[in-house]
Amino acid sequence: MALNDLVVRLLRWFQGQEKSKETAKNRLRLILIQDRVGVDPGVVDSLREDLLALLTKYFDVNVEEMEVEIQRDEERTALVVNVPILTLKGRHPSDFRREREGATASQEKSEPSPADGSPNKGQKSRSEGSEEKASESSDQESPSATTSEIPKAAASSSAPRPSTDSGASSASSSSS
Amino acid sequence: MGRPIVITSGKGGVGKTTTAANLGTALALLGQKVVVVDADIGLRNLDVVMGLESRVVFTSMDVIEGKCDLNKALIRDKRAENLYILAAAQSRNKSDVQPEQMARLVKELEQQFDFVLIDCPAGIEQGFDNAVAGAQEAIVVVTPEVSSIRDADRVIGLLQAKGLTEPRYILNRYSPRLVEQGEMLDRSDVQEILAIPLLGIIPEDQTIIASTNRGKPLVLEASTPAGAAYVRIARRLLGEEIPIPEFREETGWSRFFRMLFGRG
Ligand SMILES: Nc1ncnc2c1ncn2[C@@H]1O[C@H](COP(=O)(O)OP(=O)(O)O)[C@@H](O)[C@H]1O
Ligand SMILES: [Mg+2]
Repeated sequence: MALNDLVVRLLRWFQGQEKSKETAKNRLRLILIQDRVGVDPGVVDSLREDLLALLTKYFDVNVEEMEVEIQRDEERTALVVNVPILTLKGRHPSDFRREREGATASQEKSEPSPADGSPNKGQKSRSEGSEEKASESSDQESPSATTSEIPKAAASSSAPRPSTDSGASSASSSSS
Repeated sequence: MGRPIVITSGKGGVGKTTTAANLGTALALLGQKVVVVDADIGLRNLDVVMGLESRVVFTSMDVIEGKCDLNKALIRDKRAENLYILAAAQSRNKSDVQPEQMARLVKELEQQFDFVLIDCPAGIEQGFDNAVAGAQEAIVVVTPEVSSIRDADRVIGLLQAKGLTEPRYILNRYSPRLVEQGEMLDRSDVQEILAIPLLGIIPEDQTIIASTNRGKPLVLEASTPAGAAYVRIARRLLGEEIPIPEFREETGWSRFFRMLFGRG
């Protein structure tokens, strides 16, 4: 028995795992907040999707770690959203405006862009499905090379314009 | 006037029937006149857990439908003085009984008994409404697991809305070893979340399986950690102040000595 316990502890220590009791407590806290406030978890899920679709237009966000929850204490109920940002898309707001106008002007050129797609379509890695596999692997190896990521991210998540595309490819070649 | 107490949980399989059988028996052994009512119509098993299945002739349904006298439907458990059960109909549905009918039945039982323990079915639908209808007090059985606590929380809200006296809870299947390893929510974690009075803790106890195999509630057998815990809870229900002990994993030797000498 004691040996068993020791083995369990060692294993957990090696794996750097949190004790399951802590996980249970945290999960319960969140579940009960939703239950008690009476918000249907489905509502929170679709809110999460909508928020994600909006946010990915401006930021490259960490989808997996994004938290959307309703918190309640004695006085108030609040929507708390925590979105880790991987990279800024790094463009001036006017770029977006111009882009939007450009997109309507050249509808026929637009391919399905990740920003419009639902976040559930397996977009865990930022540019999955894009043809720039080379640049993707290179930026995973050097996550600090933000300068190379900015144009790439922009390319992968906005309407394809010749200028951004070329910007992305030049950046990826410079980073490798 | 007796005390009608519903034993409920929301989630199934957390120990409501085990608790009803053991608390009922323990209270009777302490000199109370007790009836345990199986409110799980269609899935009755209180009679089986108590080893009385061969004695079921009439059920609460027969009483409600006027097919037999209440006293004829009560099954006496000969192992304790003044212990009775009222079985549930097996071949009927929960919707065959209305809450008002159940409330009337419990009222009638209150006249004769010190305690009317009502073993509630799982769920929060009609079966729950029926079981709660006649009750004035409630005991919520919960295990230290996320799903059980979540359901308990829901049920506590429903009970409070129905205007019963503040429910108390029993923390069942508590494993000191897992708690020590950090792999089970401990009593303070559960208390913090449920925030209603704790009536007692029943440790995880494998002898419960043997006791249900035999149809003999634990509190009738040689003392086991869970049996002793049920007796303490029965005493607390009677108003005695008995602190809830810290549970520790039983060592092989203490178990050996308990089995050798332990009784009562
Ligand atoms: N403290 C305990 N230790 C070990 N097993 C238990 C304990 N309490 C209940 N059980 C087991 O859990 C199962 C479900 O119990 P039961 O009383 O029928 O639950 P419910 O009536 O809530 O559905 C049974 O097999 C029972 O033997
Ligand atoms: Mg049951």
